[in-house]
Amino acid sequence: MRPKTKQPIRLAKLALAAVLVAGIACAVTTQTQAAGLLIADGGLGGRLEIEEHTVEVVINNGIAVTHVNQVFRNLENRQVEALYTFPVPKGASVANFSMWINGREMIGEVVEKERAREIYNSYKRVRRDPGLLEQVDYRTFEMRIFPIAANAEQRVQITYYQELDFDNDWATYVYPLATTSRQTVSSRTTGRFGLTLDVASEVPIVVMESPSHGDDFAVAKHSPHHVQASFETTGGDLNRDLVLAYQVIRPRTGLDLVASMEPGEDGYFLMTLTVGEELSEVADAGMDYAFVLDISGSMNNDGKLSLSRSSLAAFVQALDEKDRFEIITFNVAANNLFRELRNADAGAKQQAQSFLAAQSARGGTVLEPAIRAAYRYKDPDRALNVIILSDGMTEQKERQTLLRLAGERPSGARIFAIGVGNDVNRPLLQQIAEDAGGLAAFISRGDNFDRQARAFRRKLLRPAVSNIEIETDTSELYDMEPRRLPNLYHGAPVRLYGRYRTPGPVQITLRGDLGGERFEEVFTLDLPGEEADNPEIERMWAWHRVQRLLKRADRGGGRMSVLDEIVRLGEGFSIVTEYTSFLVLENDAEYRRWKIERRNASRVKRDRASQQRVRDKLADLRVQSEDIGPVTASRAPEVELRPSVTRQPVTQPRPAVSQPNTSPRGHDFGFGGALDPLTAAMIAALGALSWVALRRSGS
Amino acid sequence: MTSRQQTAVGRASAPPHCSQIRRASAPPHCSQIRCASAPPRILAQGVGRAALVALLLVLPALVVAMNPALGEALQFQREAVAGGEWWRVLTCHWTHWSMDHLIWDAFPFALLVLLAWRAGPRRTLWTLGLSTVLIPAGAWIFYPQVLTYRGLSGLASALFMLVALDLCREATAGRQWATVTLVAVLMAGFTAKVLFEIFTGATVFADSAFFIPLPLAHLIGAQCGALAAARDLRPQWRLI
Repeated sequence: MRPKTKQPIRLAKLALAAVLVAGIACAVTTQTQAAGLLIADGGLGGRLEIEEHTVEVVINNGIAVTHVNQVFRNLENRQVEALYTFPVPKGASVANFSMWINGREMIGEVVEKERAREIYNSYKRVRRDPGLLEQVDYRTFEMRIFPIAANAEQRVQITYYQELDFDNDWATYVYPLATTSRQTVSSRTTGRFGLTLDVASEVPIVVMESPSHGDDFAVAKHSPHHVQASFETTGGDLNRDLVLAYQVIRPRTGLDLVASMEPGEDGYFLMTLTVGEELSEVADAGMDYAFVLDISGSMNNDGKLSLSRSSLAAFVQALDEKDRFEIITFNVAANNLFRELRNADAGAKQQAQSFLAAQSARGGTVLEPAIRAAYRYKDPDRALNVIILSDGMTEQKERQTLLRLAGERPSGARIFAIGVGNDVNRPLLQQIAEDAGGLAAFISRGDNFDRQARAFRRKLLRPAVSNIEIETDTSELYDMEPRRLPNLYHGAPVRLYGRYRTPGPVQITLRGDLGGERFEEVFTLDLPGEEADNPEIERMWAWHRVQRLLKRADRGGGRMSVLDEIVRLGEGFSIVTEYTSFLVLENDAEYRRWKIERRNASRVKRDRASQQRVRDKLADLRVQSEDIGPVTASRAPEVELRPSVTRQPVTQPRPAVSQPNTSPRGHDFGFGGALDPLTAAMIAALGALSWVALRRSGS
Repeated sequence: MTSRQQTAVGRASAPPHCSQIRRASAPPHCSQIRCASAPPRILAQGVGRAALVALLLVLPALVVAMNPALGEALQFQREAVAGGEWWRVLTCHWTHWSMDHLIWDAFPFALLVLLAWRAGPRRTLWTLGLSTVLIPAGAWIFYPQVLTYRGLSGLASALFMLVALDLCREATAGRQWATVTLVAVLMAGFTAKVLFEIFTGATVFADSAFFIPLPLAHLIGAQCGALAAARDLRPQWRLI
């Protein structure tokens, strides 16, 4: 039995443990919110909430500028540091971070990441007002604000730019809200949440809708070039991303030019090449399809074979009677359905369904014989589409073989890759499709197979320009991004950013393959002199350059060589990257003290003036498009939204041969511990030495 | 060979002279397995037990590989860990990005468990426990861009260093200088490779379309292994 004198010690230990547990619980259960994770960082934590959350979005010809305004409130009776982790959509570039200090907006400046963190911490130590916004990974940002006084509120504004993805003429805007999968996190907003979105488009807008929130959005189409949408809730559930999509139809194929030029500096341009409706009406003489279905053992996982069978059945059903098809299955050996190309009539489709139903997944993956078999179906007079349905889970050594095979395809044949399920080797399938002039698509269980199949076939039928090259008659254009243009296909424009030295007319020669023939078209564009209405393209140009440098460095084996250039671009164009952060200080004198140039302050001033002009034009459009009241004889003329746009028709429609090489879905890389052959050899050698030592000692 | 194994065997069936020498300065020939008089049955049992442990340690990785949803739930995921799902720190090592990844990690790991277990079960567990926690912690602290992490290779690196240092020490005691040199070359090569990868950002031979290799995991793992091996340098009575 323990002496009684020990009791107080035990009680003290218990009390200490209780305090620790309570402290930890308090730290981990701090207030969280939808659209990001808000916590009181450090110490014992604390309770914070977002009182107001409003989002203003202006989409000007496919480039979205999103302003997020948030008001935080500290519910504690002491100072706390707020840490707010929030996502931005893929491909978005954070362009401004402002805090209201003593009632005045202080605009942040982009500083090299480590230096920004050091300066922030130095202020934190003396309890003054810094703010820091850093990029945690490619799509997550972290904002720190200190101090938020007891029961006080803090207002911040974040601005980010992004290009919208277009697919089949639909542009989609996503405002991420579903940011946590934790069951315990409340997704209800305590304050007001509102989002307003203005779309201005040179290409007429057909319709706008919200796939995520349907009728909760109020949508007003003021003119074919301006649509507005808004959503508002107080205390509502925000557990789903807000998604808005609008469809545009371009009557004619054309090349649009948008430029930005400050006096005394080289200009920036954005060329957008879009295929028009006139190329969509093609004579459908039928095509040949060789479907290659993976039935290896890995397709058993996650119901991938069942998903593939359903998708392939939908593709076969979507075929026209003029089309011919064959189905080849493969695991360690290839097998085929007809041993010839059959017209897609009802009988053949029925046979295909029965054949697919009889397939089961087993064995390894050897794709080469199946692809070679598919190539043998190439008819010199018809286009052959080889469509591979697989998870891409092949042996490392076979990847090179597959990529080589893609290059060895017969003339007039394309390879399309369809990844099924969520556990898919996307990079491999995308690369195969890209190398073979096709495209990769990915299907998940929630997809509508019939709609996907029809959309896919439409893409195959519509003409596309492949192997696009752009040449100019002058050396005035330089630093173009991307360096290599993707294929151009119906429903998805190709964007090209670059810089120019002097204004004036410039001849652009566009070359590519269209319908099996060499395509060449010459455009004359007028590069403007001073142009202040499109400053966003400067940042987008720099952002694309940063992304290219990072990708090149990652492929080439090390980022050290590009860090200086990335920091220079980040600081120069006020872009948050993995190596640059936004820092907000209390006043201008503090920026001077740290010798931080107020580049972003002047850039934001310019941006806001330009954005105000766009808003004014949109407001004019709204006024002119009012349809309430008696019907008048004539309607107001449409207002031109962009100052310098040149559109030129391309050639007459021709049959299709090439297809896009990109997928709207990207690949999210994770990290992993990877043992390579060298390490494995070292381990084997160590094992051998151990064995020898053991034998020696044993003998 | 660890003193712990020597103790266990000594209590069972080792001849008296072995246990006596173990307490003083054990000459190489008298360590348990080297001892010519150690019964072969016990050696076989040792191998069998080690193989069983290796299998048990690799089996969860195979199970997870068969169930992708399980991999998602067990991988290291920064946001989820920050949100309280701390078990991911422990389980992430047994998740992999692909079958290739699993095979390259699991076989060497199993071999190393086999070698390390025979060298000392407690030190093996100590090494695995330490590296299981410290590798994700290192990724958390030093690589904020690491959102997700999977793989057994960090633990394999820890065991590699443990086995190598153990073998090196035994070979030194036995004056087997060729073995010492070879093991030292292996350790130096391993360390140089990891440091090269960390400082240049390039990978020497690893190349995956599925994930980005994280050499830091190998460095932290190797340090954990070295730390565990260094425990043996302390007075032996503390280890018994």
